[in-house]
Amino acid sequence: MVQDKKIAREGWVLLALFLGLLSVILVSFSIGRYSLPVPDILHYIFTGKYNDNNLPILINDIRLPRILAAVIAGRGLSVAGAAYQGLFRNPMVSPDILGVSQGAGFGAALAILLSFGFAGIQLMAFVFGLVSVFLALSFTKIMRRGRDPILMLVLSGMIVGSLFNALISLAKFVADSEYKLPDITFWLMGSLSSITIDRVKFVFPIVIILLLLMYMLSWRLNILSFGEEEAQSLGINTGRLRVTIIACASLLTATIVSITGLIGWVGLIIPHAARFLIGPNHRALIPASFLLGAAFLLLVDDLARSVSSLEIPLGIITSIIGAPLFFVILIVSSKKTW
Amino acid sequence: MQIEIAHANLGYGKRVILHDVSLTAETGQTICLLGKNGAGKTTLFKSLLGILPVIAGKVQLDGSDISKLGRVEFARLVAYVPQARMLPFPFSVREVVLFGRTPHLSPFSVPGKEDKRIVEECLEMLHIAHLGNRTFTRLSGGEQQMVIIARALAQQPAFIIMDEPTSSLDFGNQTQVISKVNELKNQSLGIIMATHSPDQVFMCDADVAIVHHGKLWKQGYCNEVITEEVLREVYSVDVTISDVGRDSGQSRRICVPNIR
Repeated sequence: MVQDKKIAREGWVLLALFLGLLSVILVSFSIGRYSLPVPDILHYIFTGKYNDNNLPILINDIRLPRILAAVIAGRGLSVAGAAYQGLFRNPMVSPDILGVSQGAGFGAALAILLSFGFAGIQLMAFVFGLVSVFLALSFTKIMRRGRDPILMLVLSGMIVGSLFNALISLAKFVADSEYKLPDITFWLMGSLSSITIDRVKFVFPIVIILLLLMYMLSWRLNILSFGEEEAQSLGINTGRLRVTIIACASLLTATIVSITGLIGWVGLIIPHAARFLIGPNHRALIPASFLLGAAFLLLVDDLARSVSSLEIPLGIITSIIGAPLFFVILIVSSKKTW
Repeated sequence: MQIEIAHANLGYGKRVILHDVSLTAETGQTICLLGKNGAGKTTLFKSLLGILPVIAGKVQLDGSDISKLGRVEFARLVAYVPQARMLPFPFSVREVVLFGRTPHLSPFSVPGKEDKRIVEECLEMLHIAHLGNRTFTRLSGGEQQMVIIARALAQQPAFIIMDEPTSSLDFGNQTQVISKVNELKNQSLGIIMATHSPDQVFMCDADVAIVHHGKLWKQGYCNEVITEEVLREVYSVDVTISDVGRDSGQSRRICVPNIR
């Protein structure tokens, strides 16, 4: 039947995206200042044998953590973005709509000011990311009485975001311009260059659990796009579902931002591209965003570490690529689906 | 089955819009709500649907209070057809109708074969199977309304509550929707429908409840309740009500406003 044909199509697209991601991962192992031939890498992965003595160190210690981090960050931000877009019934929403990024940015800046170590920066970014979401949700609760809860949520997010933006500026202002100011600025631009396998190990399980939870809720997410009252009349406890999804998506974003710094655009454009490829059904859209986001950020990180001898911060590249790409996606998809 | 609202005060917060409302709807019955704009028809609907808590009194489904019933259980028995509106994402018609199966699914599961079969049935019942793969947002207002009715049917409810289902439709589509409403009633669904047209109440041969002066002003069988005096009082217009089609055996009342 026709319905089955559509599901089959979704399956093929997901398979293609999965294979695409695998090849990007393989290529990423090979790219770098010291480039490794793909056949050698495959040979090493499947047999454990190698001719080049640098190969195991490069693969296991240097490139693997970074590739894992890029994959985790890309898919996490994209899935959070897709979920938020569904939740807010607005395709122009990105995962930091509730001020997570600004909050995390301030947490990191504060930690750098106070000369905390890497772990401290990560923890502070994480905590303040969540603080901002908590503030946004509380503001909404105070303001909402009888008003559109979605609009109030967006407004609260803007308020919290601007507040933390101002605090970031304050932190920069008081930071000593020799060491700490560049550190703060650099962190805010986002980068994977100082990633270690320990940090990846720390965030990996959190991200996987949250992604799984989001996937399980993905079908119900569709129904929220009909609006509060209609979704309720279809038997959905909208308040509970909304809070669960916001909590998952915000935790996800805060977790990722805490290890990578701020990386813009991914959470906004990847869900669009995925929706263009696979349609608006979140049950397929969430996994598609997952695969596409991972591949995209991995490619961007490959660029970041191979284009020049000096590493370019990730956030800069995602913005430079993201802005025109978003434009193109909007043009193409307006012709197709909208 | 019956859904009953008894001696209830309805409104927002502490502000009562409708006082002492009592209304009972049975399956196999159509009840039309009349009343001018802003009279409180939507307030009544929201209270019936449990979206708006009643200020005093209660709403009961077969004797059990709906506020204690739980969203899912309620949605298995009562479906809602809101006025046609925009959707932010381009879902297909089949997907939209499939969402009607939500109350029959457990929280983490997705619709299966049986659900899809029911969707096809509902599409065919409303003669819109040919629209199945079209994008919902690209349909005309009339087609969208049919799809939303199909979604309500997919819920397999005992009652369907419709908020002005013909408001944005052309003459042909209006007639089609009203015919469907009659068909569904004959399949022993209960239908509660708001409308702006007294003619439609006659077309449905329905019971009517008139929302006026902050209360349920009058209710009963249409031929008895809808009179020239009542319409003059509610809508402030002069109306002539007459019977047409007696010769063809399709006798029905119509309202003709007197235009000066």
